[in-house]
Amino acid sequence: MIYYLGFVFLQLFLTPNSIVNTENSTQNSPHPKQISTDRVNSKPGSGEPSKSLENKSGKISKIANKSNWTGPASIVPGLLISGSGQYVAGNKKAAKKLFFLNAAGMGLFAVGAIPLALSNSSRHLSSIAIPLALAGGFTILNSQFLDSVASFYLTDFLGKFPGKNPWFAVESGYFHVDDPQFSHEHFQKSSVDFNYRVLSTKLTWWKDYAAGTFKARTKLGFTILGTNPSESASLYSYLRLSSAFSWHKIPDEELKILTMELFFEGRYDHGSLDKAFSGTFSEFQFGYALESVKYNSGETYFSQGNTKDFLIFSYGFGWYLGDSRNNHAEMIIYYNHRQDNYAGGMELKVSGDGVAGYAGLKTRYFFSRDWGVYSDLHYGGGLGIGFGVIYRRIK
Amino acid sequence: MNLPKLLLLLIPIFFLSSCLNDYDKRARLDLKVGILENEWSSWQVVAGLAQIKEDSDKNTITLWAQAPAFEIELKTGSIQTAPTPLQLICHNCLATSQLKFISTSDSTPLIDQIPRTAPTEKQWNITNLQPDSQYVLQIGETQTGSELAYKVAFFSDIQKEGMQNVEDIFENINNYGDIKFVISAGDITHRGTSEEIEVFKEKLKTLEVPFYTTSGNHDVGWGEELAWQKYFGRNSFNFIYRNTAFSFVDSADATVAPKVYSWLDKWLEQSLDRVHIFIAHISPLDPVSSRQGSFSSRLEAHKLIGKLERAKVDLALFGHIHSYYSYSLGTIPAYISGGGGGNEEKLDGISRHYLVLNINSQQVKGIELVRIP
Repeated sequence: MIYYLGFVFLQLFLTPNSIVNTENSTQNSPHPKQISTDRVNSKPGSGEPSKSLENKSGKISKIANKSNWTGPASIVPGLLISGSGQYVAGNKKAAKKLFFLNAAGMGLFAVGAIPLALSNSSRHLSSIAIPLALAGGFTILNSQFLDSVASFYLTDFLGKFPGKNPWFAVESGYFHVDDPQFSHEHFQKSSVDFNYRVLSTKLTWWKDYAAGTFKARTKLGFTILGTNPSESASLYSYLRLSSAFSWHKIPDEELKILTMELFFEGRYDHGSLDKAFSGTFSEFQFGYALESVKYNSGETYFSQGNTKDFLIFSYGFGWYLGDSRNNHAEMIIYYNHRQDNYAGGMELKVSGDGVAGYAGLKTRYFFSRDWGVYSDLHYGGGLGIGFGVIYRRIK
Repeated sequence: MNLPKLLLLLIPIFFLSSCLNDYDKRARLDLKVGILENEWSSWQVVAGLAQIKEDSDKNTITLWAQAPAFEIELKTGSIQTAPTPLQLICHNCLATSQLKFISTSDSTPLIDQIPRTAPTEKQWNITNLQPDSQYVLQIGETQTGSELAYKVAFFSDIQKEGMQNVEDIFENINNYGDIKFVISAGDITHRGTSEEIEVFKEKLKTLEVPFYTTSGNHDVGWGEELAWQKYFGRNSFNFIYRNTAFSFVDSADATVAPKVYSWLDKWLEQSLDRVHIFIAHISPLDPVSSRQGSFSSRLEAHKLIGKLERAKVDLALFGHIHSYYSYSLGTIPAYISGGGGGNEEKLDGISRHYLVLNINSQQVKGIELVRIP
């Protein structure tokens, strides 16, 4: 479903009207260097050299050998054999990587899903098999996203990581929740970020002044691998070990919830995988949380029956748009397996229960070095819509 | 944006919207259960505790009981007279049930009990119903004996795999002895079709005590929207038996409709001094947390648990997961018993089973796990 929504979104808003006659857009492409020799020297599928390899300015044009078939090939047979689009495009190196990425995803998915299916979600296997199945499933999706995005030549219109993260950022805005189960609806949401060397911290709070609902969450991340949050880089990839602590109060339901989280989170710039995928990245989180709830005013946290753990897992596929610090954006379509957010998880007909988390689209757009705007739209059992402004400082 | 692109955008929106609010619709339709209007009368089963219909011969009113005792308000019209005799058939009734008129605006009609044809079927012939009159009928045990201890069986999740030999479970319950009735958290069928329900009802004739159930995710929302209500009655309902409140709540969509929460609030408030047993198909939280075979929102799960805990509910019973679990939701003891035979959870050492609840006027004294050999 996420893949379908992502594909629809790409089709509607990002695909140029014609991918074979937009020479101007190609000249403006941020990735002239991405033209592979394979692409230029042969007509896809035919083995013949292209008749028009250079434009008037003498620069090699990657329009010349674009095929109308690469995009469709990334869908059929691409949904089964990932990398098909890039193979048709002549980028066999990328196709091979996608194929193996997909195969790895299928392997992980099979290792997780087959025992689950055979045991009807046995209590002894679920804690291991479900994260494996999720990781495998989204690895498959990631390879298919990459194939489609590159094979529909959408990367021509993408940007790149602007070079550096802010050391300090403040976000503030409105967050709307549409969930008939609760009276809260209109939140003021704010957050403060600090990045220092390998450490990144974030404090976020939500407040509905009418309903009295309040949530505060603080997160501390330690970079284990990749680019530090305060470091300059052309490709931004990292792996962090993060912990978070949150406190949530819903007065109308007399609930107070304390949550502690420990998880890995990361971002991988797909430009590292192949230049054909430059401008895209994926994000993930994996870990566990411990949640304790006070259902009565007299109750204490971590007493019998009120403390449960849950799985943290999320996946996002993102695009950079623009490539300067003064004018750039990033957009992420994501799935989050958590169900402790305001929108809750999706209600699926297939299983009938709340096995799924929520999915959404978040964007950040910076129109100057210091100022930007953000939005977040996600759908679970309810709907969450947020938007606001960002102020940041970059050293 | 051209038309094909617009359609491409509308498909997922339609898909998403079509998935929404089935539970709200079921709650609204629940309110229509137990209402019958015909040429000579109007009938309303109080609190919708029985499904009611008129047979094609126009002389028979048939009920499917969802509670050991319930009341019916009957108004006769002024133009056409009632058939004489009027036959009243109650399916899924306690064997000791009796019919009586507890209020009449006219002379009390005459009741003639007909020998039953099945253990849970009761039939009466009613004569002397006057036109333009109001009556309140009661079906149930005449002496409730609220202080007496009794036993109730609980199991769920029969579905396609379990339907083949569900009679084994019924026979075991019959032989256990002294079980007053069976309660269930749903997933009786695989797809909730009329055919499946009719097959189950046929098999149910071998069970010697009534079977009261809410619906599961397999019973509703797969096509035949009204089948459950047509054959069983309400998805969410509450009754009191011997100082114990039984609240059945529809959680088949991994959530509870806001309307049902408002009913639940009343049921909880009315039974603060009683033993209270809560029954729903999907548990608010899965005892195996990473599996998430539970509500789709943890916040809503906590909302429900908070309501039950503050009302001091004594026991919460669920199905959906095809195994046996004993756990707690806040301070409330909770059990999952999905041992009706539907595709079983493996590696758990538990196969088909049911629970026997031993209840007295003060508490649920004990819970026994009974395995089906």
